[in-house]
Amino acid sequence: MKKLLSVLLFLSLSVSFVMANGQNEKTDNQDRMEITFAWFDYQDLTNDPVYSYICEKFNVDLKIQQIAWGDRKEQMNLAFASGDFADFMLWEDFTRSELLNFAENGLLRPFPSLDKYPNLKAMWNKMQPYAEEEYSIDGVQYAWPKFNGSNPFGGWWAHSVYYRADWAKELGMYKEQYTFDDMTELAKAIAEKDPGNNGAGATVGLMGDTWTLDNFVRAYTDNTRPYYKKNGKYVWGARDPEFLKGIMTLKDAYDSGAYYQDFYVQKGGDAEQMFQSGLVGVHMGNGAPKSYEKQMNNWVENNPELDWFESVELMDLIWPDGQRRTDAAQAYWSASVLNPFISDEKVDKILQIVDYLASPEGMKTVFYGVPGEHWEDVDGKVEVKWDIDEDGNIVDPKWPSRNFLAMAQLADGLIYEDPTKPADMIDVIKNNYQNLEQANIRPLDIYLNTFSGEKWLKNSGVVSSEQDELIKMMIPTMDKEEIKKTFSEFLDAWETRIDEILAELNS
Amino acid sequence: MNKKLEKLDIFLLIILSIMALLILYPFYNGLVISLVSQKEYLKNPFMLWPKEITLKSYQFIFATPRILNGYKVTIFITVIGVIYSMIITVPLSYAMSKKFPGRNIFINLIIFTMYFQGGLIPFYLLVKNIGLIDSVWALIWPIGVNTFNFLITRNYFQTIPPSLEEAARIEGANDLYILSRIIIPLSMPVLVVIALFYGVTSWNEWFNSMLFIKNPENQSLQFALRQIIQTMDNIRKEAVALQLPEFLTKNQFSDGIKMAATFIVMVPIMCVYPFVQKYFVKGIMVGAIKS
Repeated sequence: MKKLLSVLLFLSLSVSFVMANGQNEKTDNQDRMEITFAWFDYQDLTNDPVYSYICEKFNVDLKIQQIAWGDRKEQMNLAFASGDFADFMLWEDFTRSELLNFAENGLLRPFPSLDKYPNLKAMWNKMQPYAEEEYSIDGVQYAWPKFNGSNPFGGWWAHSVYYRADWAKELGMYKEQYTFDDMTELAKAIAEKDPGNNGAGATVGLMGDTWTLDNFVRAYTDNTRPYYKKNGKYVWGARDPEFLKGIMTLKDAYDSGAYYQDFYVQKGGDAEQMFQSGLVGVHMGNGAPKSYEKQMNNWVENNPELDWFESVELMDLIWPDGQRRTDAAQAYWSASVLNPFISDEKVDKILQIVDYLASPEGMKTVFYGVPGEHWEDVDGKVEVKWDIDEDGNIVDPKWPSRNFLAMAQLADGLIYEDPTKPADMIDVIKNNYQNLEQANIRPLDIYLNTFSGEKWLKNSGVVSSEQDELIKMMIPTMDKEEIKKTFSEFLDAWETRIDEILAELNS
Repeated sequence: MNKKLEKLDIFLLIILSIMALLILYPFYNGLVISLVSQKEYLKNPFMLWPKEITLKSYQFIFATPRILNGYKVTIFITVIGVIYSMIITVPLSYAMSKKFPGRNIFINLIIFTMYFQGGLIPFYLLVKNIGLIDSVWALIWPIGVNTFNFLITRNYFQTIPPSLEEAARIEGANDLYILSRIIIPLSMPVLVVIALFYGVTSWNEWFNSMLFIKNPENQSLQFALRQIIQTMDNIRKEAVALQLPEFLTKNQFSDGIKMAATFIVMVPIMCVYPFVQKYFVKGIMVGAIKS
């Protein structure tokens, strides 16, 4: 018995050895090529007609490998370290030095020339001048950024101010256009008089996402970043007198009761949720299509008795410089990289698919369905053949394969063509972008996005965080003289390190 | 005999009651948050009793198959994992409890792994080369033996009088017979404890799921919960919302969903734990004393 057991154990060990030496090798010579795409969502594609259509069209099996949003960094680092990549992998939130380092070590595959892929080339051109600086090394492209078509008119953000127009009318303070002081006065009145009937002290005048702090402290400056160019050299904006003036403006807004009194402990998303729940009068937020839609839908869910378009408007805000204001934006967000270990044939196939997805027909196919079956082009306009529900509304099938659009782009721009979206909402979003076309569009300094100096990487983020925490501490606890003194001490404490950063930036 | 309550007793009772409330209230608050709407929660974050109960957060959780799939996977890996681990650990512990040439070398090699591991990347490559990536078995096979559990079991086996084995050998019993008919029946206390430890480890398993499983249908319950909580936390951030699927970003009360997911995962264990609590306490000591 013992001998038999010993033989069996030996055999199973040998089998394990043999199995361990066998690997799953991807053979690109099979008839149907399998292509893996790493992305955030995973749904069953079995009954998805669009998925079948694309696979047939390109003779591939497309598979989504899910990445957990919260663990994406760990999963991507593991992929790079182990060499176990998806064929087309999302790589998000990386620095320029990481790009250089990984490219140097052969972990990133250079993209071939896009001349063979006209739609990709056209999309790449739309993303200039920034994409080339961020994702290329010596003219060779290493990542495919995802085009963000949320602004149909150009490259600027839609930082917007949502406000309760119904409350403003009730208080006799409604205007077509507000100055910065008007906005603060309105917020103060809302906080004092509680038109929302939430109870004493429960209604907040003005609240914003965590970057709203920046809106105030830079209200009197023209630069969006802590460091900017003045007379051809980089300087630290916190040293400008206008910066301190911005802090004092925030202090005034806080002391008057206009600004959210617990702003120093708020988390990201609190402002939006509180506005949606009818607790905030003025909310500094984001007017991009997805953000606006989310805001609107959640607000309606929480306030079913009210009409969104009658109660909430986007404020036409004039900043202290006498103009509307926004910031220039890259026309893309995050990127995907190619598996460095796959064949040229597979790379070509992947780019063919991504090129198709970047084409007008490809975008429409993945979004609307199989051409001819689910939609058709009638005089340049898409006519969908989706199901209609009992109330006569078009029902969006929401095929899971829509995720494949993310190989080429974020599909924000498609909202303008989506027949299920309310026309009023689309009009508001478009008008907002158009208004901002006339604004003071503060330029984007892509050099800072891609700079990877040692002192910069070590200290620039730290000083910004400390500065924000200091402001959050000073505003509720100190008077203006104390704020001035404390902030001056902060500037002195950081002087040496900031000068090192500036020397690096200006070298 | 009735013991009269002294002032000190009353004082202690009050202190302990306050501490109990402080510990229990967050659980209760979490349950209430999972049952209210966003509006009600934001108006009154510290509510004792919800004004209007809604099951929307729970509906969202069960509308996505993640928690249900997670339960299936976790129950599978717990049951199979415990059996697999016990099948390996018990014979290993028994063998190592006997004296034979080179025994100490083997034991030291095993203990060495408690302090030093090969590293995350070699482990990942090992599992990948065996072909277990994206397989539920990746959550079972590579982690069969826990060194600590092995040591507890081995120490317990060493407390069994050798005369029992000698008597069995005289009667013609072999090692396997002795193990199965004599050692194991006598070792039920430690085996129950070890099975419990393995069970809890498997139930709480999420890290290997994050590393090796790409298909959400094969992800463990704790990883699914982690994903839901992280996604709901990050969903508030605009940049994140741009990237996530629409069904996650639309009309969701993120705090309510987080609490609902937490309770769905927590409740089964909370129902079981009171019955097994004493074994945890016993378990640490059971292999510690040698006769």
